[in-house]
Amino acid sequence: MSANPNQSANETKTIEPKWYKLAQSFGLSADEFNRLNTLLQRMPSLEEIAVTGALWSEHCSYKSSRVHLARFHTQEPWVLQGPGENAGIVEVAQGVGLVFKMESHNHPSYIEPYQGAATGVGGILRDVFCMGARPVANMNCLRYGEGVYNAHLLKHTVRGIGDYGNSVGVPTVGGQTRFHHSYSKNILVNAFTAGLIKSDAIFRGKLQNDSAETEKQFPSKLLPNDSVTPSKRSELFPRGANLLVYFGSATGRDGVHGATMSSDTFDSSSSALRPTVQVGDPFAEKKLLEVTLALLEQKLVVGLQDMGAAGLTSSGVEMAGRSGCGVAIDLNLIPARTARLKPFEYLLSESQERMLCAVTPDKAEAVIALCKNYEVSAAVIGSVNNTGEFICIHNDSVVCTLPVEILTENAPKYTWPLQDRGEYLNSHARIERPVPATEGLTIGLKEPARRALAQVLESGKTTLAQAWPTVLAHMPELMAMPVHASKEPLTNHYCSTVQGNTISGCQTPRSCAAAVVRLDESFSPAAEGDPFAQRAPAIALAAGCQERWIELDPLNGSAQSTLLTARSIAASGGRPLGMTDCLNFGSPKQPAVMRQISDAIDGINSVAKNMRIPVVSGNVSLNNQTGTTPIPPTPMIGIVGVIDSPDHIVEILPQPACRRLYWLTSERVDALTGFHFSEMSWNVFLSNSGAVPEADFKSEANLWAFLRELRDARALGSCAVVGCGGLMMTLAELAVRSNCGLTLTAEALALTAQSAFAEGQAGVLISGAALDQQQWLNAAQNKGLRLMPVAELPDTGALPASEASLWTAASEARANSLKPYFG
Amino acid sequence: MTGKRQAAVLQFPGTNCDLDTLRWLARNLDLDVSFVRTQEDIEKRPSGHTSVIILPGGFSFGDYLRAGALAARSPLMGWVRREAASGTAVLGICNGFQTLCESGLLAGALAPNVVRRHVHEFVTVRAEISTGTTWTPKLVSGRLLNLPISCGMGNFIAPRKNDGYQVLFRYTQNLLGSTDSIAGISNPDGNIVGMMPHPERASDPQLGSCDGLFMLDALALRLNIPLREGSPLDLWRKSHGTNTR
Repeated sequence: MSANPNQSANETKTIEPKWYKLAQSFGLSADEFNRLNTLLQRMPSLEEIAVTGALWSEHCSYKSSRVHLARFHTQEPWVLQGPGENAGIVEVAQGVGLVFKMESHNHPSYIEPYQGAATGVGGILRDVFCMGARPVANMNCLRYGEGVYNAHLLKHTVRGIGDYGNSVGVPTVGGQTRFHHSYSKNILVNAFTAGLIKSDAIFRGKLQNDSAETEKQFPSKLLPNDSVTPSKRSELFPRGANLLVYFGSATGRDGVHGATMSSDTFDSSSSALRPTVQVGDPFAEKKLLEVTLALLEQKLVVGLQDMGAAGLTSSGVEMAGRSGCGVAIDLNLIPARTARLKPFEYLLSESQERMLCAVTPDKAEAVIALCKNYEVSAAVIGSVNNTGEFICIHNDSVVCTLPVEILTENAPKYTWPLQDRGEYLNSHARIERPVPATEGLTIGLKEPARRALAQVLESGKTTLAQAWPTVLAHMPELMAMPVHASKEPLTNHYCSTVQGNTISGCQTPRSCAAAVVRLDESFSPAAEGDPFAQRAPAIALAAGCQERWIELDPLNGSAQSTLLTARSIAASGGRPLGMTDCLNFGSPKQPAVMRQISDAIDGINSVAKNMRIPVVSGNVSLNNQTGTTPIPPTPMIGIVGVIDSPDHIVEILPQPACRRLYWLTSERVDALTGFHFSEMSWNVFLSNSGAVPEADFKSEANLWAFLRELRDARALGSCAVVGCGGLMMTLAELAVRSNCGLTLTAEALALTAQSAFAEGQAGVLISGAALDQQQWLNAAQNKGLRLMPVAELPDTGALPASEASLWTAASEARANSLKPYFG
Repeated sequence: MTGKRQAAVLQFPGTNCDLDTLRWLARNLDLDVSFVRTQEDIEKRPSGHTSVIILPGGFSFGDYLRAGALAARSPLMGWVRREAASGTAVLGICNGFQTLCESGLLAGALAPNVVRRHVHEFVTVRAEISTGTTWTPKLVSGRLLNLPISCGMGNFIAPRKNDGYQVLFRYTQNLLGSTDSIAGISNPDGNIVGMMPHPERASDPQLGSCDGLFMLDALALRLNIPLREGSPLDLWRKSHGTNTR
């Protein structure tokens, strides 16, 4: 189905409209189609349009965000691999790398939640293990809206994530789940994987050995529809060149986006092709994981890449691009699970659990034998050559012969117009929330409670002492809101203890502000002196985003949001080492959205630079919108760190013997004045407004240093990050999780009620037997920090009966609120 | 071959608790432990020389038929059956328990959880009075253990006749719907044990529970296996004393 290849560039000016329509169905705009014609100086074939459409897509080319992504701070001495590979790598201990990345799977999860979410997990796992790392932890960041369909989405995405990760045997240890009405028609499913690797065993997606010199490339001079003669074949598949080996599941029609085109326009005899959703097979993934790690360990392959978005096309082209060479693939050699696949379907199929690797010819047999041993199918499907082109043949005829650079370096880059920052802030100065839905997934505060709380929170002058009886009386309703409710009904779908190294995960006996996974004997560098890995370091992982702040102010909001995620690493006793971003936004063609993207990148980057947490991998998901309404800007951030010794691990709940809590914040007033953009204002007054304070990196660094000082003096009993709902809701959560009540100190009661729910740079809540000593108050003051005793957590038995029953009710509300969605 | 006792951890395609289970043994006990994955692995082992066999948890063959159903019919299980008949200590954890029931080495069957989804949680199980098995001490009763469960098919259905097995563990809260809250059983001889909770994931102070060491302690005593000095089990025994008094 290709045009006359001999058509010259001049003639393409009179291209028939049907070609534009075809190009559009493969994601190419008219301008992009013209650009392709100009670069090729001829009409492309159908397959070439399909390949180009896939590689020039936002997902593969980052064409709208590239200009901005280039600003990221990506280098620090401990970075072993920055952006550009399948995942980033930081060194967590001598000779040990942590490979990690987060990726979105939003659209498929909205259409088919179970498989969409499951294959999201599968995809990110492959990105990590195709570099040679053993995946040791998964996390997921989820966003839902409200109503009946969202209740369905919640249930099935969670099942999909759990069933896939559990079966592959990678613990799901954390993440973040939030709710906001603007996600009702565009939920977010962002999956994160971290894996461990010896730093001398890192594999990259390339086709030639590093020692091989980049050879000069000679175009094949083939055109689509040319038949491939034996002599031409030996040029395309030269003797002695590295071979391309495909292994994993067979290829089907799943995920062929181009299949949505009206194919009968071009081939009226063929039946209409129906797109099918990708289906995950975790058993195949587990086998693929084991065989991949075995292949890499035995050094049988030169380069390897998983077939993710745009399948074979993107892995083949990206590997060729990195190695500066050409490839030829014979589509007839690809293991297929469906008969009569068309060439473009082979090229665009997103069938899951597949890998492409390059091997030297002498190793090909061993690779295939090893795959067979692991019950994974494998086949040689092509070869590296020096044409500099991505060549595909089918039935001995050329279907695609595109110079690789057209697909990579010459992909379009867009600098979409940005709304002026001042104008953006003005138009987003106040964000209103519609009255919460009352059917299906309900995410708001129940009405009588909302009114009562509105009364005591209305004035900025009301003290917490005045408001406390009302707040306490409505604690069960507050705790029942999905944002504050226990996420255990979700997380107990996830196995968080497989592999036997999870110190803090979901439902583990120990719990920290971040997820904590220790290095075991395989990776513990001090194994000789420590045969039982009892002294080994651990990794700390946290992920999340505060989209309400970012919608008000993308720059300061995303800096504060990123800092909050990093703080939970510090609060667990760790040092943050690197981050991955998963940027979920609306359409880049809207100047306001483009402002969000640009400012969010700058906000994240300010944290990366100032706190030295380089951005080493990431993913961009644009066009998350329905009609003209974009989702709130959601740059999800995953941060990894290291906890150097098990003694440094700090848990979130205070020890029973010492349940007095201190609020540690900057002396600056920001922490107390963030009520207008807080979760509480959102729920009680149905709006957020005002300025988000600039991130204060100096006091943040001081806060982390102070926590280290306490820890080294063994004076830190516990540490929790003040998060959603501010001081008050964080205290309440600690109380309920400790099976206790809450008694506020005079200092806390003297705060204004609004500041108790404020979400400025709100610091941490700590406990420790020695914290009342003057030395610590002084030490804090010297660092510009305020250490304020705020509460005791008494056993409910020690409380008056009426108060005790409120806490019991709050505890039950928190535990049970999300359960009905999983019945 | 050294003078040490031999232990084997089975690997089916899809098994995913293999490495942690191997480490559980290797960290604590002074024995030779290795994976058994293929027919060749079996042929390398003289029959009757393997003292301990563990069928670890995971999703053998993807659990695409019934959990453990395909593994139970694999050639490796023929070897397990022969070794078990000669008194080898066999433990099936989670998917391993399902496989032992499917193969008939243990009585009963495992059905989908009553909540009809995967459940991962730390639960409390009570050790029951028994005549003692290779994996549990004699006459210990009422002892509560904090162990994680992680399964989709952990609902134990006991056979109608209640001979043919003895109950070793019961849940204090029956989340999965098992007959009489049963969490683990053994064969009448006591050398084959199956259980849904994962003792290997709760055998380290760092992980917040050491209760899984209870079983290794019993095994070490019964088979006279020396402990590795300084191991979690060694330290545990020094601070707790041993199981059997």
